[in-house]
Amino acid sequence: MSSCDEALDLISARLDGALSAGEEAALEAHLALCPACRALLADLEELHGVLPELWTEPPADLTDRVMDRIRTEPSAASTRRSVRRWKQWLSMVAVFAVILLGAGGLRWLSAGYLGAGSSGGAAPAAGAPAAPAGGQMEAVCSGNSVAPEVVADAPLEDLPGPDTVDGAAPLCIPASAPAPEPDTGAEATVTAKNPDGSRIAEAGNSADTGDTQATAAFALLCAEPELAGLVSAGPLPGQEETGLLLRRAEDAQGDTPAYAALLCVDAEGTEVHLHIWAEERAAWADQYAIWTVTRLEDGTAALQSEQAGDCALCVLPTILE
Amino acid sequence: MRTDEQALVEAARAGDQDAFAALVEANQSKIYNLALRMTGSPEDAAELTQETFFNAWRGLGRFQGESAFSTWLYRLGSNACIDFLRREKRRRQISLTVPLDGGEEERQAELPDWRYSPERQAEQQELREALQAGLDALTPEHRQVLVLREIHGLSYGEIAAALTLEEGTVKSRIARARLALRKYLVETGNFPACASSSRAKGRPE
Repeated sequence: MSSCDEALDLISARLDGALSAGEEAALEAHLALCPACRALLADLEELHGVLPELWTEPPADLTDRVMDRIRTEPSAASTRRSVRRWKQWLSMVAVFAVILLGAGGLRWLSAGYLGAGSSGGAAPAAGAPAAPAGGQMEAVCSGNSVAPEVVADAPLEDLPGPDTVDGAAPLCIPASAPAPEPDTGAEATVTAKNPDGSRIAEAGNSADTGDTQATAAFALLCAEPELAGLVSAGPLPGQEETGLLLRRAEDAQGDTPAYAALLCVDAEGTEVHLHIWAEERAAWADQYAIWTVTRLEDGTAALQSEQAGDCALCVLPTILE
Repeated sequence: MRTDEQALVEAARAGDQDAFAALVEANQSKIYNLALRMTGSPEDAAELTQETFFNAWRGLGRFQGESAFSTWLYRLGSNACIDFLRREKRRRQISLTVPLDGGEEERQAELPDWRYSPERQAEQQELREALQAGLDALTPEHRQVLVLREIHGLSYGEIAAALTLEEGTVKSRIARARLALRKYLVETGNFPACASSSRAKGRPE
């Protein structure tokens, strides 16, 4: 016998004609015994019938207005990122780390080394612990910046690929962050820790979406299957000075839009929002995935998401302090 | 029909503005209605529609025909709406009272339809306002899947393609959105229909 929660899904699917015969039978069985769900069905059927009436004809001149705008704007070919510009930028930027938390624990998708000048190549921070055995990891943040460590200068093509094996040593590490933007004022470090407090990774940077309301931002990742590719850092399009964000590098065809994720802290410092770079609009698209920020007593901040288990991240703009 | 669309897209991609205008004409209601129900404002909807098509024009080089043109437009449109809502949220509380549908009103003023009594018109308007208020009360991600399913009549697959979601996600989100909408309307006493002593309150969620 289905529960009312299951019945909701069945009722909804029935409205859309998406029920199998077996599901139909299960639903009928539940409805026979549940007046609450019968009422729900009646209400949802009613809404289903009445909502289409909201369809409205657009203003008659809308097409003209669209075409006027197109005619008066200079036609622009979509601007493609210059890979060369990336590399230049990369050489100045801190290393970033990409963390993905699945329900089973920590999984590294990728990480990269970006040179801080021409200092000699050094291995990434040693002793990165293996993925925790399981359970949720709480990402905590600290406002202290971390002393730079020497990082190898690696060209874009040499960035390591996805690494999803539990126990594989993650690459991490923060080198010096770029000079913070005056208005963001953020020179931030992120520390990801295991529940027992042992450190997993650190990375630091700052970015700005350009939206006047968002302040400092940070970038990590969300559980998109497409992101299991190479990830690297790059500038925010349209902004020379930027900060850190994550992009998937172009594939061999060179035509796949790079994919970027960016997290922004809102002005109140209580929410972190995930944005995805929408190539076709040359703009950040808010994904409406929200993490709430909770200050902890030790001065750090914890980030929690309702999308439990799918995403992880750390952010720490100084606004959290 | 699809090949006609493909021909238009090809031409538009090559710079043919008249071809693009035909695509706009064919698709503008879809985007307008999405924006109208996402924002509750005819003015904002018109503006967002323009923005969506403008972005489409600029981004035509990126559209490779991997989906229907309208699916791609829905994606651009829903992104534009979500971005807009983000910015608006920062500026002000989203009003739960929705402006009257300007288009409808204009038509009524020009062509009074005596088939409908003023009472019935008022009821219909009230209904639209109540429903829009209900939509406004939803989270944007619930609102957009519900609008595309109920108002645009898109299938789960089409919605999934437009919003780059898994179909299963679309399906469950729609169910929750329906529940949330119903809950809001019941709690605000705005449920359009049958009042009912038989309606069980406080359905477990």
